[in-house]
Amino acid sequence: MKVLVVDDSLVVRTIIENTVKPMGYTVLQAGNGLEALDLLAKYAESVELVLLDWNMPVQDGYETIKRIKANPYYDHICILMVSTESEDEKIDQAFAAGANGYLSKPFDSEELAEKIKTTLAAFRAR
Amino acid sequence: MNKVLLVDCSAETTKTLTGILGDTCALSGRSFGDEMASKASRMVILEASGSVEDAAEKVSKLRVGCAFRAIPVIVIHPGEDVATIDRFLSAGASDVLSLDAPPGACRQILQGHLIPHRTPLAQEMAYLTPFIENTVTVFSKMAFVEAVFQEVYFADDLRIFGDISGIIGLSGNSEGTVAITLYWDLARKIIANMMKVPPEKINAEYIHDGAGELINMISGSTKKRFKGTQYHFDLSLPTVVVGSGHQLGHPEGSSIAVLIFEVGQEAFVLQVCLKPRNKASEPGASLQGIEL
Repeated sequence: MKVLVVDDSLVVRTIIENTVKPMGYTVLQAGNGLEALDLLAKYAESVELVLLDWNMPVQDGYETIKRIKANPYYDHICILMVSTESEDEKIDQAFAAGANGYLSKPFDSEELAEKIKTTLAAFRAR
Repeated sequence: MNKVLLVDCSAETTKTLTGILGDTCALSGRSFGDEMASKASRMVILEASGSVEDAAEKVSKLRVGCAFRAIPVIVIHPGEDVATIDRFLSAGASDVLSLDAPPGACRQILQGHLIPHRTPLAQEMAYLTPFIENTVTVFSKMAFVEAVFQEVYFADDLRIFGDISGIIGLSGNSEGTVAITLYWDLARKIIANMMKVPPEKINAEYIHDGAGELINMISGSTKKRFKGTQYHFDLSLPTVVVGSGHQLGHPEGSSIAVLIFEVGQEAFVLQVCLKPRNKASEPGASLQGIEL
């Protein structure tokens, strides 16, 4: 199965990939929301999880969640937001748009791995 | 007594400077070396001899040795050739002085450079402390290093001599900028740690990207602490500037807090320029809401 990592920072994408790969996933990377939607159009069937930044150029994470959730073909995809935006209102906004989990930056690998596991478990059990 | 380090100064120049500053400063002289502990001095004075490029290189190394401290680096050089003066200033000099000028004028200029920068009041530390704490947390969590806060001062007009800056614009209740500036070697080590690869695997693209992400994380995690106060802000996307001697623009009339940190023996600096839109509120007036 695949994980799609969406962040405008190459360094953050690599940090996340370093955590996700040992969990047995193949990693796809996108630098903004539009690139993410392009990749989903090709690989959606095998993508189980999208890790999504909020503040990005071209198309931000919030708009991207709404567009993913508006497409019924993507119902099987779990979305975990990973962002520097850490205020309650922003987190509530992300969940209201359809995010299934939220992790604030900065994070360490253990926190990220744990958040992925718990978010996916809750998503599968819905 | 202010400690003034004289570098490569001739006997005649040392005698002249002693006459000008000797009553208020402790002067010590030595020849230039690569490992100059400039940061222990209150002022560094270099007498430029040989080629302009060689002298500019020395200025540059002395500036690095100051580790971002507000230490004036003065170049003694005869004449008023603008290109030469600009070269020294761009290398990191605070001023270029000719001792052909009257001693009274030289004394006034040098004493002016010795006026200390303002340090924050206790209530100003209330809005700087969250930035300090979150900088330490970001470096610890993301790069597994201990960033130790050293000191802070305010500057009105600031040239920061580092190799790379990650900058983020702030808007909302407060406007301004926050920037992190590092020398290349430390930036490379930090980004390598973040990505868990050896430093030699880190190219310029990773360093540019990483500097932007560091300031994004520091600002983003600090933003939450200002909720409900006049200092709350929204974040822009980060930008990155590369090149020694770059100067960052800040909103007019605002003070820039320069926060110096060290990772091991290497320094980096965070510039915080945060100006509440409500000018009736002086810094520190409504800080009770900040979670400290």
